[in-house]
Amino acid sequence: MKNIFLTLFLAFSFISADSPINIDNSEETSECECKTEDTPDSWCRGVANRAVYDYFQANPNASHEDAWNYEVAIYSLCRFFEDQYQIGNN
Amino acid sequence: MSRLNIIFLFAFLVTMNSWAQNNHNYKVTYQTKIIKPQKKNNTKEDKTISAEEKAANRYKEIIFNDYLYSMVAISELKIIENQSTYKTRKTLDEDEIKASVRNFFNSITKNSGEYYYNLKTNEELLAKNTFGKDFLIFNQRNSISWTITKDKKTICNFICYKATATLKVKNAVNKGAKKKVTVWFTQSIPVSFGPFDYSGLPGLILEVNVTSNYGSILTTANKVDLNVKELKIKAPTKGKKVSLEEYEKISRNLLKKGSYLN
Repeated sequence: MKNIFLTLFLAFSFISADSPINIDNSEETSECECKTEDTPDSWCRGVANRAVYDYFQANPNASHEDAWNYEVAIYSLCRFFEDQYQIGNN
Repeated sequence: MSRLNIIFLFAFLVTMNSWAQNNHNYKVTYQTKIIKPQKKNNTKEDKTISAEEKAANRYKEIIFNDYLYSMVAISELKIIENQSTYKTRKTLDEDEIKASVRNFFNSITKNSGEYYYNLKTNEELLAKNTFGKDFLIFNQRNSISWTITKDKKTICNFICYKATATLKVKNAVNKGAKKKVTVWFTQSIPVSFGPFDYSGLPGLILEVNVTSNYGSILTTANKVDLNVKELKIKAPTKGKKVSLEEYEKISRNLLKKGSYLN
C-alpha cells in the first residue's frame, strides 16, 4: 500500500492528459512508512511506479509505450534483486 | 518556352518520377543504437529521498549503463515499387531482464513493430505488440516539412545530404511533445522512402538521428542492396485494427489506473 500516494497522484495527473505534467514532490516523505508490510511484488510495483514518475519528469517527450516498457524493465530488475535477497535470507 | 514545351517537360518529369518509383527493388539494412550523452544524469544525492526512490535510481542506472547503451537493433527496409516495409530483426536475449530492457530499447528507438507504407495511397500501417496486445495501427502519413541543407557526407558509398525537421511525438504522454529529427538522404537512389515512418525527400534516407533526453538515437544504413530479385512485401495483418487516434486513447486510458502494471 505504500505506493498508494503515487498511484493516486499519477492517476489524477493523467486523467487530463492535455496538460503538461507538473508533479509536486512536497508530500513525498509520507510514502515510505510501511516497508515491512511489503512483499517483493508490492515493493517492486512501488519502485517501478516511482521510476516511471521520475521518467516522465526527465523525459517530457516520453510516449506511453516507452513508459510502459520502462516500468516493466524496472519491475523485472527489482524482482530479480528482491528474489535473490529473499533466497539469501532463507 | 511554349505552352506545348511546358506540357512535354511536365509529362517527362512525371514519367521519370514514376519510373524512379516503380522500377527498382531495394533492401537496406540499418543499425540503431543510443549514443550516451556527455553530461551526467541528474540523480538526486539528497539523503532524505525515500527508499523507493533510491531503489528506482539504482535500477535506472543499471538499465541505462549496463544494458541500454550497449544494445543495437538491426533492421531491414524493403522497397518494391510504391510500397515499403521496415522491420527489426528479433533478438533472443538470454534472460528476462535483458529481454525486458530490450523491449524498452526497441520502444524508445521506435524499433518495435513492423512499419508498412504505400506511397501511392499514402496509407501507413504499424503492426506492434504493446501493452500485452497485438495492434494494427492505420494512419494517413502526414507530409513532413523538411529543411534540406547543403551539408553532405558519404554513407555506404552514397553521397548524402542533410535534412532536418521538428515533428510531433506520436502517442506522447504530453500531447504537445515534439522531437528534432536530422536525416541524411541520397539522391543517387531517387525513391521517397526511409526507415520508420520517415519519408518525403527526393532520395532514400540512409541515416536518422533523433535527439532525446537519454542521448541521440542514431539509425544508420550499413548495407544497401540494389535491384534485389525475389523481394516480397506484404502488408501486416496481425492485430486489432485501430486508428492512430483510437490507439492513443487506449494508451491514455491505461494510465488512468496510475500504473501500467496489472
